[in-house]
Amino acid sequence: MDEFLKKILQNEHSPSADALPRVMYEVRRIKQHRRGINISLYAAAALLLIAFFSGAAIRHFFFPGKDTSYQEVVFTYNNAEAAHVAVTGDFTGWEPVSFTHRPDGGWETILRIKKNGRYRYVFIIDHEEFIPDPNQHSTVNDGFGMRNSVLTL
Amino acid sequence: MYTVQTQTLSFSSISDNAVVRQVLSGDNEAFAELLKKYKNYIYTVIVRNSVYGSEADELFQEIFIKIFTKLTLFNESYSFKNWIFTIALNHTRNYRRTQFIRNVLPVRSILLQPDTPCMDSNRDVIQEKELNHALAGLPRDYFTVIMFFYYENKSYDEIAYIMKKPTGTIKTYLFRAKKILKKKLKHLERSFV
Repeated sequence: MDEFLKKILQNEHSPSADALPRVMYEVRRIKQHRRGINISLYAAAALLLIAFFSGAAIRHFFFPGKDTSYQEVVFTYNNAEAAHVAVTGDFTGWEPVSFTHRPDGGWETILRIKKNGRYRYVFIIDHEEFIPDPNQHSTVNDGFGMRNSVLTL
Repeated sequence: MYTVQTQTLSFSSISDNAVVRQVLSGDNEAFAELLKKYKNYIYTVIVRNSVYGSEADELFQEIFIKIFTKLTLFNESYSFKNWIFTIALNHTRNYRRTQFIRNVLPVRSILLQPDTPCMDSNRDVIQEKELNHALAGLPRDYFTVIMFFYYENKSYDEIAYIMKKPTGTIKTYLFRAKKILKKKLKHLERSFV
């Protein structure tokens, strides 16, 4: 019995390849959520005061115009067989943002992203497959042998 | 003139407690290192409770998220590895209590008959799944002792220290656990030789 137990119980088992990236995705999402709460609690009042007395506030009230500190970025994915496509990354707080399914079968979403930033992101296909953006050549290792796309604005 | 030499420590040379402190200070990558270090360990605990495949993957994810969110509660005077073992075991057992696990049925449908020819590897898989199912039915402390003794090769004294029980009690637990397993697996008795 002892040998039988040793023989079997010393076998180790491994999770699937995408299990670790999924965990880190959730960890980043939780962290972003916590960070968001902290910022809103401690900085909201200060920001309101600063905005109220700053020239930006006066300009905004009297000369409303387009905010040029953000850039519109179009993300596309061409796979007519996909049932759902989303993007998640630093610019979404690691929350998934769904694409729209185009009549030609492709997928697309347009996001306003703050300029002067470097953002990691991935696409999520059918709620389960994490892939880098096929249209983005710049990628970085996520630490688990999988790649995150990198967007630099 | 002098030069300052800096030493870069890899995570493998830093204790778990130090890594935990880094995570708590906001370093996400530090948690990734804990994840990589203990992924097989935690996944094996899940499998030993007779949970497999996509269910095991989901539990794996839930357990590590729980570990991350509860890190502020970790007491550094205890072993991090034993702490996460407890979380993994409790979470997996809670899951089994709320779900009806049928994964032993496909195994039982091809129970070995004495004269049934089979590939050695299939027999090993079946034996392992039978054992996992039997382990999953053990009382929590018995399961823990079996895992610490046979999977982690800990001594009676080490297990007694971790579980805060006398060494004699640990030996009793181990004896009773093996007795239960032997009874549940008697149809595999030829494998015990």
